[in-house]
Amino acid sequence: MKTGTLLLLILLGSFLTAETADEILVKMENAGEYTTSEMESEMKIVTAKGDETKMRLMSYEKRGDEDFSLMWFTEPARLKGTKILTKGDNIWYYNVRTNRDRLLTKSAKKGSMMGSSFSYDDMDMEYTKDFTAQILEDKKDFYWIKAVPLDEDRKYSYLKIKVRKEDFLPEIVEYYDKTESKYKEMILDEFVTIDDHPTALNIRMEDLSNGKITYMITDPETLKFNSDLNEDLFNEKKLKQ
Amino acid sequence: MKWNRFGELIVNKHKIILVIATFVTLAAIFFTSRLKIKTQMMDLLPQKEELVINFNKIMNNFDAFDTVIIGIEGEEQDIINYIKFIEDKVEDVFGVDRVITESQVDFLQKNLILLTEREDLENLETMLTADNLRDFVKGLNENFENSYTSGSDSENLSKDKTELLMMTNTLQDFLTNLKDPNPERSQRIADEFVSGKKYMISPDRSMGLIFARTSISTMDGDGTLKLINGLEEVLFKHEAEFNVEANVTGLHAIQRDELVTTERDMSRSSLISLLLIILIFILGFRLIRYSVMAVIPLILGIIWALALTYILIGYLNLMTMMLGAILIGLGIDYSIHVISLFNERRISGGTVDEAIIFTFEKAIPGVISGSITTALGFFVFSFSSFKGFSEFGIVLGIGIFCTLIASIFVLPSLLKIFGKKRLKQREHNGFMLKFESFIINKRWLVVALILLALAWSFYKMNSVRFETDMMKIEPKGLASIELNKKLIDKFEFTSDTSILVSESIEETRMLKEEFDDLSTVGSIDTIVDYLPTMEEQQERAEYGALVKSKLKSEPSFDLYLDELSEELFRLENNLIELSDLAYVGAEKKIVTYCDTIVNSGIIADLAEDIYAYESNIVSVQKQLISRYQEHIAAANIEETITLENLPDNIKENYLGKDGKIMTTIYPESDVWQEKFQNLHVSQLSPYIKNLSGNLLVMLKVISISGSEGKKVLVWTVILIFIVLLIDLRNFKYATLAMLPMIASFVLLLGIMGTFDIKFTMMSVIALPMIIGIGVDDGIHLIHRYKIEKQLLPTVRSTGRAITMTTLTTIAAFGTLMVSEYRGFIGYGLLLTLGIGLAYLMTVCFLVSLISIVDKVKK
Repeated sequence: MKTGTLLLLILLGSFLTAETADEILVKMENAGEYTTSEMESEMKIVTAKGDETKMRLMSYEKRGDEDFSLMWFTEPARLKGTKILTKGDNIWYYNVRTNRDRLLTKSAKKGSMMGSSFSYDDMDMEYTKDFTAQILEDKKDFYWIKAVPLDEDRKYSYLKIKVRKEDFLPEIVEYYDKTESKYKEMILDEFVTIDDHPTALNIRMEDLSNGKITYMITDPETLKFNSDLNEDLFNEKKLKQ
Repeated sequence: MKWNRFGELIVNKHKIILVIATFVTLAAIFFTSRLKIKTQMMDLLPQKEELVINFNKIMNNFDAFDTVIIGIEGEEQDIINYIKFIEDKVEDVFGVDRVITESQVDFLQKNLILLTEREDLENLETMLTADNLRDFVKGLNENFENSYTSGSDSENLSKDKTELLMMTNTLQDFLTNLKDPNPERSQRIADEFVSGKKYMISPDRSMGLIFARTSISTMDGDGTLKLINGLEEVLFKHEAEFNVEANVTGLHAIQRDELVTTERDMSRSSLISLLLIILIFILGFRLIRYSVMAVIPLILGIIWALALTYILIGYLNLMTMMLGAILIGLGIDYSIHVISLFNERRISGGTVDEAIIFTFEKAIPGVISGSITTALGFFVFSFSSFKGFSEFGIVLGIGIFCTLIASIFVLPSLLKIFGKKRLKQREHNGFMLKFESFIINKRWLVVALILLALAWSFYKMNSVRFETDMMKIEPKGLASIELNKKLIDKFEFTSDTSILVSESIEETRMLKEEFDDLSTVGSIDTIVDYLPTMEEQQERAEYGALVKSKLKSEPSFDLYLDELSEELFRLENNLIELSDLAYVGAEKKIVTYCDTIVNSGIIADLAEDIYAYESNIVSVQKQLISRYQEHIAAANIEETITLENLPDNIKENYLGKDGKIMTTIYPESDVWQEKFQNLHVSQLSPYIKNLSGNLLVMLKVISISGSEGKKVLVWTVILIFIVLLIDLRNFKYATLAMLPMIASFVLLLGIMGTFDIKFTMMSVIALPMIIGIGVDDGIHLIHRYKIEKQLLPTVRSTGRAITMTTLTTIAAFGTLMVSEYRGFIGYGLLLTLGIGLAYLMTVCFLVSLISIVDKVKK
């Protein structure tokens, strides 16, 4: 075979196998495909001054027409029993010390989640529904894509995401504002596969605007997918139980 | 050139030379006494820089820009008493135009409705229309929940931290007042719920502020000194009477403190280095008179250089201030060479005249060419676009020539008169010879060890960073800087701000909205906060009219004790939730404030036993609600606030003489934290044409000194290599002479990387100097080696001189490390390390390399 023909075939082959940006978004979403999940994690928040707060929490998630999630704080003592329930766009907050629950304002979803560097939005990204994307870099093991949110009210103008080709999980997510400045960065590592689901055990979110870093470290022993979760967990009326 | 003719000239005309030198020095002292010192970062930047042009315009145009901040620490009431007492006295201090001790409470109370956003008015409606305490506390709860807990978002907590802390403060007073009623306190609490605290007291009630406006520019050094000294005199005189402690900060105070510290540093390090050098001389030459004679031309050269600096530039900046210390370190080498040669001839039996002529024949050409290379090294700096470097290059270049002239004219003239005492021949113990024999014998091992150290340095040098925290070059414990830190801690208030200048109110509004969206912007102090748009004012006035219509002509003062008890429990729950929210967000102050109230049990006590406090509640309700409703009833909804009817004391904070508008941008976090700093600058960059201020000036100085430092370094290396090629006329030896210098440079970076020593805008200028000075040892050695053709005799002859000049240079630069100003410490440290390493590399690496390349026999 002539060299020119071979090169042409290789080139064509690469076109045939390369994903488009939209396909990457679909694969990213599929990478996290499950009906339910539960895990126990440690959340550590370190401020720019070095002040540190450590918490432990159980997280439960149920996917369907509308996604449900519950965060149930188990440590420290002052927060033990505090819960945050998200159902679609609604968020309920239950404080165990006051024994009060309340539906938070809609705008809370865009804000910081309980003072961490995560927003409620960060915890619930629907790649195909919420973003349009373009490929910035196509390397051997990963892509860098630029994801622009369809919702213009989001705090960020766009995200730059480093996506692993191996399992289409994000490895780095950078948040850019309207001045094209990176103001937040999420780094995921300790990738494992549990019950056929690839996932990252450690997440580090740094808010460059205030120097606050939030670490979310998941205990792999507690990570379960597609288990039967009690419906009551996601019942806002039973938060006090 | 016939150098002996010059020698003869000195011998014949030495008295005339000394008389001329005396007159020149007297004239120079006159000029030197007029020399100013400028320690501002602004003085280091080029005047045509946009940031500098903006800065100067702001300084000339806005009176509010020049403000001295007075911080008073003590108990709240003592602070207030002191402020009331000292106010007039501060106003009488030289340079003070106006004193601000109170917030804009009158204006805020009068225009409460027009200045409150419609949404907040709705949140506050229950509270605004309350005619009893139950409704008042209910309104307070609603406002709390709507503003903070309903969002469950500690981002708001962080942004509104000071406001929130102030509110919990007032809340604590309110609860205390229910337990222990006081009519005056009830009224004050009502006022504070409307317009905040009257005096500028920190939320923890331990610090108060006074702002002193001045017409003295920070560019006016003498005026600044008089202003700050005058203020301190008045403040310190009376602080003990009131049991408080007062200090000053702001640009003027920091500049005065820097001026005093840097002057003290320079005097101290110059004196110590002179003493050390005399000591080294005494140890080297064993005669005090020669030590004194060596120092005289040095002092004359420095005085002449300072006078020329006054004539050419007019002032010294932070970098040229080090002139004395640098010239002592470098200029002494000329005296060493002159005295060494003079003594050599005297010991061998020559007369004083013969010795002087011999010195001119043998030493002066080398001294002149050495000084030319050093001066050229400095003049490279003068081509930098960074004014700090260019002035440094000019002043130091001139300084080198001045000490050179003094050394070749004055020193031989002095030797002619005082050099009659003959030195004795000294026995050398040959340490240098033994050491170098060892180096030559073990040359491969030496080279291997050095290469190993170089490899380690290459590995570590990548971690060397540039210090982005300007405060790290300031002296530790400086009163003005310490107060500045306390302001950040107690008021979340920093002077590291950016100033935005806009043409109109509309433009200011638009820019404020855009800046509000920037995550690194903490708060914005702007005139538009006092000037809502016509539409907003109209909308608020309409709502205000509705609120007012609900006010009864006389409050009912009905008592609902059970419901009030419930509202108090609700208030406690709100504080608990707020505290938990703040706990997760690591907002420790808010946690402490809320927990203090909750844990004191005051709310539970009042709520559980409300009937026991019935009489208290009746009296507080009457005093507080009456006063509160008075404010609401009197609140203006008829007269629109316009720029014209805005009170002068507000306008002058924002309006310039040419009608332009100044807005102050406060950063959200510590601007000296590197990542935050980068983001803040990136977010502000689209607006840079409208911006200036101390912060941006300092950041510009950091970035420009880093980039220009690299350029100067590269040019110095190129220039020195060219000079070496011309001087040695041999590529091999020119390269060999460069190698120890490059090796010492790499090792220095390795040490910096290992011990986390960062470059600063001051220490970065040490690098080209290390290269310029460090290469001298190699040049001397190779020069002599080319003549002698034998390595060991060369080492024996030049080793002592190299050691001596290195010791004196290190003595001079090392004394900078006893400075208080940390910028000088870093600079002294790098120079000491760099020159020490250059010396070691010359006597170890270069000698080994020559012995290998030229196959010198062991």
